[in-house]
Amino acid sequence: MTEPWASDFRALREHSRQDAPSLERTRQFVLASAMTPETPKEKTMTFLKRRPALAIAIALALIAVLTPVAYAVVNKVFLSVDPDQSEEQIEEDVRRQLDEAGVPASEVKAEKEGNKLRIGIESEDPDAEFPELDVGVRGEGKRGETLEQNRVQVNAHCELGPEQMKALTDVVSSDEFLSPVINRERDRQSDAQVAAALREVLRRHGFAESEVSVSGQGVTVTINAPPT
Amino acid sequence: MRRDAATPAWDQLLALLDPVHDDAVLFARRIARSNADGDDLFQEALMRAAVKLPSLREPARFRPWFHQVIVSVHRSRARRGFWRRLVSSETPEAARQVAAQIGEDGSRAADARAGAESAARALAVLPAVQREAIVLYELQELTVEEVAEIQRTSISSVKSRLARGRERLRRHYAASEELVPPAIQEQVP
Repeated sequence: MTEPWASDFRALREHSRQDAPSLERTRQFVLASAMTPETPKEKTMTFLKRRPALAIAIALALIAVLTPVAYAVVNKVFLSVDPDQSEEQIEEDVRRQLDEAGVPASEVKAEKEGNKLRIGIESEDPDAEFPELDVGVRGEGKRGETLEQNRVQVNAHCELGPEQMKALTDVVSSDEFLSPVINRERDRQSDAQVAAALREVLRRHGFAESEVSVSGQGVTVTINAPPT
Repeated sequence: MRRDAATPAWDQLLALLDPVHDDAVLFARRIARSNADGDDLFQEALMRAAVKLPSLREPARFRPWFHQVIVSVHRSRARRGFWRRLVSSETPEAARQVAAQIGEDGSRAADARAGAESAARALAVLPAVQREAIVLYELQELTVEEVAEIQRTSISSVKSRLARGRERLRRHYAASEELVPPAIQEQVP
């Protein structure tokens, strides 16, 4: 049976050949690059040099679902992350662990920014029931400093359109939302106080019908109605 | 420095690139959202390859190695937009943007261009790893083993990515058909 995309793929195959750069054009690009005062190697080294040491790792597991799904803890899945690895290595590592655990993750993204490590996990399966994820941090980080991690899990119990889903993920990955979580020790906030602060952030962004539970460094957000 | 001379690293890269150049360009174009994006991706991969070339242990394995670099750059680019997304890119606006990017390339045949745009839109809804697997296997006509080497994963993972990618493509095409108004559907032979 012919797949519905067969003729489109044939068209794309031909389209991608149109005016494709020749080897000679690539050679000209290479020569121009070789003549620039700053070689790629120098750029890379500068980038690395400016990058601060990863002293504190914060693992944020963001889970997005596109259709209503009942929250269910199927199994507890332990993910182990080494913050000293590159973003790509962490992604491969997490993807492998999720594959082995049978978790339907289609997209895993790790991003280091300053002293934070964020891990995003997106499911391709709208009917998926997500197990609880527990992200452990390997490695020692910088001697004498503590490795901390926070986990934010987001569940939508209502129909959210693409724009509403984007608004939700924008809110829960914003500094405004994460700040009460990250700074709770410094600000001496209890679980209930952190949860109240997070509910207020969600409310300000239109997600009035939401539940937030905080337990230690784990945050679970449940959205019960679309934003107003 | 003479204007027509590159450094030894660049010279070596060009020599290795010669037999695989066209394949690599086409892979970059097909995996990106437009030919223009693909050319940018290819150039960025070239820059990264020049830096990483000393890590290439077997020059005979340059082809999969360079494709790995393209995949790596492709994922880095996808990562930049990930935190702003985390939702399906299957929005009308995204579709319009993809269509516009393809259109700027100046295809000669309207039908062929419409088909290419449709394929680009469909591939754009796939997660990066599935898009890579589908493009490498279906458009570049590599074997599952070759795809696994380029994606640096197991054969079973590639098979899983292909199966999930195809299923997602089927859903995308089914949804697209549902959006076509009945009057237009009737005109389709």
